Parts: sequence; structure tokens; C-alpha cells
Amino acid sequence: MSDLKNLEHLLSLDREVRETPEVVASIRSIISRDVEARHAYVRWAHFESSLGWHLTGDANAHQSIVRQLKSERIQNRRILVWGTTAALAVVLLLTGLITTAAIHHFNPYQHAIPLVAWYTQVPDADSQLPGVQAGKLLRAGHRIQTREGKVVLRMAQGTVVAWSGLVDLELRSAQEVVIHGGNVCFHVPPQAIGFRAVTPAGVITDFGTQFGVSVGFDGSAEVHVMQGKVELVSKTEKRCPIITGESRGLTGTGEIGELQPVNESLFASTLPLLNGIPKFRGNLRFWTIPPLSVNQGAALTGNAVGVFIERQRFALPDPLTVYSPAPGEYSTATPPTLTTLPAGTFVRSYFIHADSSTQTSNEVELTFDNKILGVILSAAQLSETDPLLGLREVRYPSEFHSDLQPKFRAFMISPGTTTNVGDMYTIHPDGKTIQITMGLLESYGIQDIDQFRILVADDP
Amino acid sequence: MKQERIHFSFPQQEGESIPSHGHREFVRLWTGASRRVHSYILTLVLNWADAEDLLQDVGVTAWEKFGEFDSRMDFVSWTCGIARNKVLTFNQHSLRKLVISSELVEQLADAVRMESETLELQHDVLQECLARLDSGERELLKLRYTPGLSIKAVSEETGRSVDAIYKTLQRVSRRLSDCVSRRLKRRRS
Repeated sequence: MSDLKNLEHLLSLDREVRETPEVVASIRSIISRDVEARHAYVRWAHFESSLGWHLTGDANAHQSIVRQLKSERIQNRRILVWGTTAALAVVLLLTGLITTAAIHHFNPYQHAIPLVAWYTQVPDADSQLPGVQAGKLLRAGHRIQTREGKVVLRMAQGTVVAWSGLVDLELRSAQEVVIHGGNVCFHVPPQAIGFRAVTPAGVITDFGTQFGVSVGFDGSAEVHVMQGKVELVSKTEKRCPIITGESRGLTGTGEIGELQPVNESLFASTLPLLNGIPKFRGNLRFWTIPPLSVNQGAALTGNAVGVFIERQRFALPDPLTVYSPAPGEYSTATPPTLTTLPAGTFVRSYFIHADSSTQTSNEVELTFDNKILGVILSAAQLSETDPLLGLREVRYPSEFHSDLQPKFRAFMISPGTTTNVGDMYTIHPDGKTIQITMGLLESYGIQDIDQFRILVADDP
Repeated sequence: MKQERIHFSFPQQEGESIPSHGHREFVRLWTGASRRVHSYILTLVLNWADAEDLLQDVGVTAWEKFGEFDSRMDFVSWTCGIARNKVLTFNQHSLRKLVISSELVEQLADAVRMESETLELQHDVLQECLARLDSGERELLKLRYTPGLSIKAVSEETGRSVDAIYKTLQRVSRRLSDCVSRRLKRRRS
């Protein structure tokens, strides 16, 4: 088979297969030696990129917006036709002035204000925006004031805006919002770099990917960067960059405060919404910046259950044995059955952590944006999967000397036995929701942490 | 004729002012260039997730260095230069990734330059061909590129097997590719 034919075959493979090291190496080997194949490859890569660019991200939002705009224009045109005809009839009977008024009233361009955002999600019943239905498109100039509940908006360029509770926010364009008050979080994808959050005392320009802004009703503000980088420009035209893990205050008069560490707790109820957990219940602390260590006593969360994302869009290199995600109620005495995820399955791993140093029991419920594929519960499973699914920047108990490891690490100490300290969980019939009750061993005078991994389906 | 260089030299220190026209100009140029920069990065790394991460890095660096950008230069070429350096740095720091040789990076950069006219034409005709697909085919194709939607999830919701969905996708992709080839040939002749 010629190099070109070989290349065509390799490029026609599914993306998951095509991006494996072996296939990439073969493709590179061909295009290194064959000029014709190299040019064909360049055309193919640009074709793929163009196609993806047309079909995803901001394109999705744009297409929906365009569709909505078109349908509104069609409706308006219909109204115009009807209105004009009616008005003409009236003209024949009465006066031409009414015609003018009617046409003016039904002008199809009266709504030609850009559509800039999509109200995509209603995480819970309390979160309905007043007068706005989920799935509704919002126009530039729309001002939203909420007192309670959680709200998620998707801007036309792809930025996701989320908040909870008391917020006063105005949509200025697809790339700019004004925060008059409240705590708001942003996730900005690459195509929306340059997105701006305007506050009374300054403007924040985003370079991706996650940041939060807290605006007091006296006009002061705080900017917290969970991931990536933003630039803060005060109204006195002072300027400073803020990067991952940093925050800055801004007085109402535009004075920029000292550099401080990020305070994620300000956005505790919002950050999960931006990280694949559109709905949750209970005392949850989401770490966008993972703790340096999750050994005993190293990552205390008060009364909250800590959660962070480990590997994502990760293709399992080998089959992985996990506890089944079948809906049902499970405890130490009645654990779920084991199942095997095939090699090549794309997963996103959520690490759940609670520490007996600050709590004895806890209950949370998490709803993920994709199906739960499996749960990793036992100490042996956790230690085995630390190197595979864990983050390099986090130290897991399995990396410490055995003397320094907690005696009980796993959520369920010995699944299938009667050793029960109240650990149980329920997977709901939607396959995306898990309710967890954690019991910690403080009452026995033994240090304990409860940890487990939830693997959720992810995309390549 | 010698052109005036546009000075978008953003101050680096706190306390200095930022010209808002610079921000607007950058956003305008970046909006127009980012798709082509993405194509270039994907050509080099052959991995969607890495290409998206690198595109973001390139955007940040382009903004930071925008003061150095000479308006006589082509913005796309300038940002592709940044992208090329990012890919080479990414190679050095990425232990788990497959390394691309700097020689191949240069060869591909040359090929992209030589094919540039065809690549732009291809982008245009692709839009035309996409418009010829029926809405169902387009929606299905969209799934392949939409983050947060797995083929498996679609299969569960539609009741069609994963295999059937993959086969349909392949058929639609092939039709699209044939349509682009035909139209490219027609435009050239």
C-alpha cells in the first residue's frame, strides 16, 4: 500500500484511535518521508479544524441564536404583513395616519438588538429567572436581578456565567457583562478570550479559563482567579494581571488592593456548576485548584465534603475494574457489583474527600452532566488508581510511607462485610445523580478520612 | 511606502494606563485569526484537546506581546509563529505526549504556507457543503465535535447502537469530503 493510501486509512480512523501514540507516530513517520502525503495531511488537518470550528462551541450558540433570530423575524414579518393589510383596509375606510402607526408598531427591526446569551440551565426549582424560561435567548441590555437560586447563562461566544443568590447583572454584549452587585463566576473558552466583566470600579479582561468577581453594593469589588489569567484595569486606569490562585480587591474609588490568595469559598455554591456538576445538595466544597495533599489532616474542609476534578477527557489505557453505576442503594454490607470499563473509555474522575479531623458525618447529593460510569470505593482500588487517575500536583495517601498513611482511607472499609460506620450511597435512576452519606471514625479515637472516586463519561 | 507601525504597547506595570482601542483591535484581529491558528496547531499536534489548550496559551501570549506586533505583518502569520514556539515548548515539558521533531514542524509549516490558498478555499467550500447536508446529518456530525456530548450518550437517548451512529458519521463525513473535493476541483478549473 502506498504512503498516501496508508495515510488516508489512518486519518479515517475514529478520533480516539487516531490520537493514540501508535497511530500518531505512524502518521508522522509517513508525512516525514512523503511530501505528497504531507500536503494531503495538512489539507486534512485544516478540514477537520474548520469542520469542528463550524460545528461546536460558539458556533452552537451562534446557530441557535441565528435560528431564533430568523424565526423571530419570520414571525415579525408575518405580523407585518397582517398588520399592513389590516391597516390598508382601515386606510380605505378611515385615514392613512393609522396605516403609518400600524407599520411603525409592527416594524420587524424593533427587536434588532443582538441576542447575546442563552439561559441554558435550571439547576433547581428555586433557580427560575423571573419572567425567563430555560432555553430562552437573552438580548444585549437585558438586566437580571436575582435574590436566590442558581443561574447558568451561556454567552454567544461560549463563555459560561454562573451565580447563586443575590446578583444584579446586565448583559452588554456576547463579550461583556456588567456586574452591579453580587458574586459571579465565569468560565471562558479559548474562542472567547478577551471577555470582559465590568464593575463600577474597574474592568476585568479574561484570558481564560475560570475566575470569579464579587461586587459589593458600595461599588467595591474582589477578583479571584481559579485558573488562568485575567487583567484588572481600575477606573483610575491602574492595571494589574491576576493569575491562578491569586486575588485582588478594588475599592469603590478604583484603588487596587494587595495581592491575596484566591478565596474559592466566596463562590462555593457556583463553582460546581462550571465544572460538570450542574446540581448539588449539601455542604460541598469544590476545589478548582486541587489541594497539595489529600493525606490525613492535609486538606480540611470544615463541615463540607471536598471535591476536585482529576484526569479528564482521559482514555483508559487498560480495562479498569470499578463498582457498577447501576441505580440502587448501597452500603458496606450491600455493595454494588464489580464491573469492568474497557480500555479506551473516556472518563473524567472526581475525587471526593472528607476528614474526621473536622467532621463525623456528612451527606451530599451530586448530579453530573454525564452518566456515572463507575465508582472506586476500596482502599486497594484507590491506591491502584492514584497514579492512573490522580493529578501529578496532588500527593495521595498511597505516596506516603505506610506509617503516615491513614488507617482507614476508603469510603467503604471492607465492602461486602459488616464493618459499617454509616457509609452508604444511592445512585438515582437517571444514572447521573449520586447521594452520599459519609460516616467518619472520630468517635472510635481513630483518625479517618473518607475518599472515593466517581468516574463520569467524558468526551475525547 | 513605509507604513506607520501601530503602537499597542500595553504598559507592564501597575499604575500605567491601557488604551482601550488596543483591546478592541486585538479582539478584532484575534476573532479573525483564531480559527486559522487552531488549524495550524492541530496540524502540528494531531490532538484536539491539546490543540484547544495550546490555542488558549497562544491567545494569552499574543495579547501580552501585542505591543510588539508590527501592523505591516500579517496577524495570522505572527500568531502562528507564537503557536509554533508553543508547540516546541509543549514538546519539551510534556512527558506523556508524543514529541514532534522540530524538523517536521518546519516541514509542516512550509506545507501550510504552500497550501494556504487551497486551505482558505477549502474552508469556504466546506461551508457550502455543510449547508447541503440535511439538518439531521448536520446535527449528528455536530455531535462528533461538541464537548460534553458523548456518542454513547446519544446512542442511549436515540436508541441506536454506538456502532450504527459511528457508521452514519463515517458516511456523512465521506460525503462531505467528496463534496469538498469536487467543488475545489471545479473552482480550480
